[in-house]
Amino acid sequence: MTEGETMDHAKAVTNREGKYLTFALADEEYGIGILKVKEIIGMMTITTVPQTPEFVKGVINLRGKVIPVGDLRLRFGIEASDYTERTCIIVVELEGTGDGAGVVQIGIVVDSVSEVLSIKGDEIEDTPTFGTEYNTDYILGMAKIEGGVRILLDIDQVLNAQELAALENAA
Amino acid sequence: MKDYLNTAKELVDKLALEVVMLEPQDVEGFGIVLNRLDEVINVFAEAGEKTFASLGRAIKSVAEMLALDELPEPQQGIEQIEKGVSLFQRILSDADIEDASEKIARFLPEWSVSDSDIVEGKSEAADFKSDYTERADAAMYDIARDSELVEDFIMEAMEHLGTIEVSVLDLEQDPENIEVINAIFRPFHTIKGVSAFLGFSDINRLAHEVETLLDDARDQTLIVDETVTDLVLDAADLMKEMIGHLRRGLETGMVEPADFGLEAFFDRLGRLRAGEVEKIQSETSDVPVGNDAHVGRILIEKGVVTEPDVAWALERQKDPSGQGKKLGELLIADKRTTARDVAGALRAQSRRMASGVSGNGVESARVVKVDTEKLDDMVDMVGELVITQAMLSRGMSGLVEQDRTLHASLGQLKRITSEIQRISMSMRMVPIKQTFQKMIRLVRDLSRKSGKKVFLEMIGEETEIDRHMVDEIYDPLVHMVRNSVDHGIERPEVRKAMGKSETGTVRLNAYHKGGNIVIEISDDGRGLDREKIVARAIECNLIESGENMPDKEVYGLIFQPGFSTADEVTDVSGRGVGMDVVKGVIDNMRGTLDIRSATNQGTTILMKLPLTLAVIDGVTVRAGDGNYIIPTTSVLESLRPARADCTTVVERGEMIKIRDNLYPLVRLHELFDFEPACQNPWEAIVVVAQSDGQWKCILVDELVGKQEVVIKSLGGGGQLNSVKGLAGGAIMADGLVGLILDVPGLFEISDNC
Repeated sequence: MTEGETMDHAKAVTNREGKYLTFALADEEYGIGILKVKEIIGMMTITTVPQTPEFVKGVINLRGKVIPVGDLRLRFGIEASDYTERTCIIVVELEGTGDGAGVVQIGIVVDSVSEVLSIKGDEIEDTPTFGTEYNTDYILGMAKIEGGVRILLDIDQVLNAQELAALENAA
Repeated sequence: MKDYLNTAKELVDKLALEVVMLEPQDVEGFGIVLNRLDEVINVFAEAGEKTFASLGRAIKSVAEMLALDELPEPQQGIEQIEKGVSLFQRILSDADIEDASEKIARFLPEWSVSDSDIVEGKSEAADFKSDYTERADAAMYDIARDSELVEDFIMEAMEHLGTIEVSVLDLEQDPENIEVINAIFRPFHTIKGVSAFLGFSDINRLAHEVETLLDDARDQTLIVDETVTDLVLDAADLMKEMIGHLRRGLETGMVEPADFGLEAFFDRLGRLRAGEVEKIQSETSDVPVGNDAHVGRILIEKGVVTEPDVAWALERQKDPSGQGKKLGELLIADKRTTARDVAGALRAQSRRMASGVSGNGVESARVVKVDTEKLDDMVDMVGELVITQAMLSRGMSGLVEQDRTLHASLGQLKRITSEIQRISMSMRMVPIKQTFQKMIRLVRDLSRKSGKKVFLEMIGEETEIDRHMVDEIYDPLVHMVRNSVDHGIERPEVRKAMGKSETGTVRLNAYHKGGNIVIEISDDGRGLDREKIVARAIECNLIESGENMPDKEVYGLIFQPGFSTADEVTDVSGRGVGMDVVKGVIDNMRGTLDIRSATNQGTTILMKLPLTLAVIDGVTVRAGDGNYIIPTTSVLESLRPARADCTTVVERGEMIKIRDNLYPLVRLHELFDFEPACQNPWEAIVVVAQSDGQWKCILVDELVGKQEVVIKSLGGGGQLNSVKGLAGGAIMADGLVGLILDVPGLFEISDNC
């Protein structure tokens, strides 16, 4: 490893260091950067919007604002399950990509919210490659901490607009 | 040799007066002071008196910091400026330059040090000075550094230019009204001051030249006629162009030098002044200076001076030594009063003047500027408040019967919430006045160009309209007014021959009617020519013959694309595009157009628009689990068809027969893929909807009601907004989101199915 690469590596590690909100989805624990999270709300009635990708559950009324809600299980191709008492909607703020779009709020449905963890840079490992077939761009890294591994998500990538559009076109 | 000293003395005296009137946050005042300081500095710089100039610059730098609101203690800053100016005055009255230089040299460091006290030691005296020189030396202003400031300037300048236009038109009606000239002068002066200090020299020069011209008009050395008003309007246009250029520069972060033909304009201005001024100068030698008498009276009223004092000063004004001096100046010079008192009187005078000339475009509304986003957020929140209040009332209904106080409180809550809702909705509204006023200029220019005499009458200017609609209706309105002037109103000689008054009238009338806003554009011109329209329509293959066609339908033909009856193509209209564009815009706003016309009596176009774009009147229906809203404007009727009226046409889908008409059936659940409660039309409800002349029946489960809903984007950065067949979302009374159907889009997908 050359000196330059080492420095880049160190920089990337410190960038990923920080606080993460962790949540459960099927058998795994995931984390998203706390600064991306606007709020966590309990499950509420979702109005289905026709002709949208499957994982887009519809829209909700968040105190007078209409925001779309996606199911992360369906986004990751995990089998859908019924919503329970513990099911939550995490409202995240994304950078808008459209013309003149500012911050965009989107809700994501997760099985349950766990805790907020401070994760140090050296606890985060780069994403292993699973072959070219799987796109892992949306994974920031894997955090090894007591009690198991958390998959850290780059939520902007998870819900990125181009991908949504592609999905829409495919539908 | 010491000529410049006298000039300087006069300037400094004026400056002293202006400084006394200075108050923190008074941007206009700072503009005036900065202008004056520039003049003072120039005089000394030209005379080579560096020490004096540096004192001027030092004062100016404090004033600039004040104007930028950079000092924590503005009041102290103003006192600082006052001290500096009074030093100027003292030195100049001693008239001993060598001595003065010494004094300034002694004073400056002391002054600067105390100044750095003001800024809490943040900037050292030395820093402070060098900072100033840097600023002065930078020929091109770094636009990115103070982008906020520049943005404010652009916004304010545009507003000022708007006022100027209105006032100039007032001036045309009443060319001798000094107050109106002042009303034009003041905004130019402000623009001049602020542009100078932001370093926009071209704008500054233009404003300065116009100001000089107006000054002549004010001194009555120049008679205001059409050439003058034209020139001022052209200057305003030119300035708009320059500011527009600036705005574009702000967006790209770069202001590229551009040529706006300023020199040519200045030539024109110079010629006008040279010619006119000579011609009338002789008449103006002893025009009584009436305004100053007012100052005297105010001073007497305040008990500052006595009547003999004023009489004495007026007397002095007549003899050579006091010639050309103002009354206040004379009184101060003779120590009969102080500058502060005179300043107070001048302020009172300008207040009195302002109150006397309302209606001449100098009134200013008490308005707070609020970010529209904040406003929208508030409206959202208020909507939620109303829903929560309704839920609370429903939840409490059991308890209310036992508790009278609770009942009263809930009633009160309801009243307050609905009042808040009403107010918050009204905050989106602005009077239509601004839009109408832009037409004044248009009509004026058009009538000039075409040689017709047109009077523009405006009624209902106070009628309020959604702020988002203001921009939308502008183009259609311009188009219709143009049509009225160009095609409607006849030439003066024709009108006279017909026994009409030579001046034609175009009338704009706005009013509210049944939850709509109606804008009427009428003229007393020749009216629409039925025969011509029919002939032209046949030519365009729009109709086969005009026989038996009601007038209303014939007039409606002018909204068809590519239709124009103008015999000649003029500069402004008659190019065959027009009314169809108008109709398109109005349709988009969910409005309607109606024409009334009578030969030789005139034409009236009625534009009926919804009160606001944000609210849609809709029929709420339930289908499957969801609530859907169909805009009322596209709904004809809704009914449950008899079983016998439902037919399936092989390969052409289902049809419903309603009163001898067959309409195709659109199954919402098939298009949107959900499970409906009823599959058969005769057990459910069909809503007959219209789009683009096409009628279809939409199958839904049940009719919920008719209500007004606030249109909301479906969010998510726009990906959900492109869903075909949906126009957006709305929050329903139960707090859930309902989907607003887009009928044209819906028909389109049903056609492709």
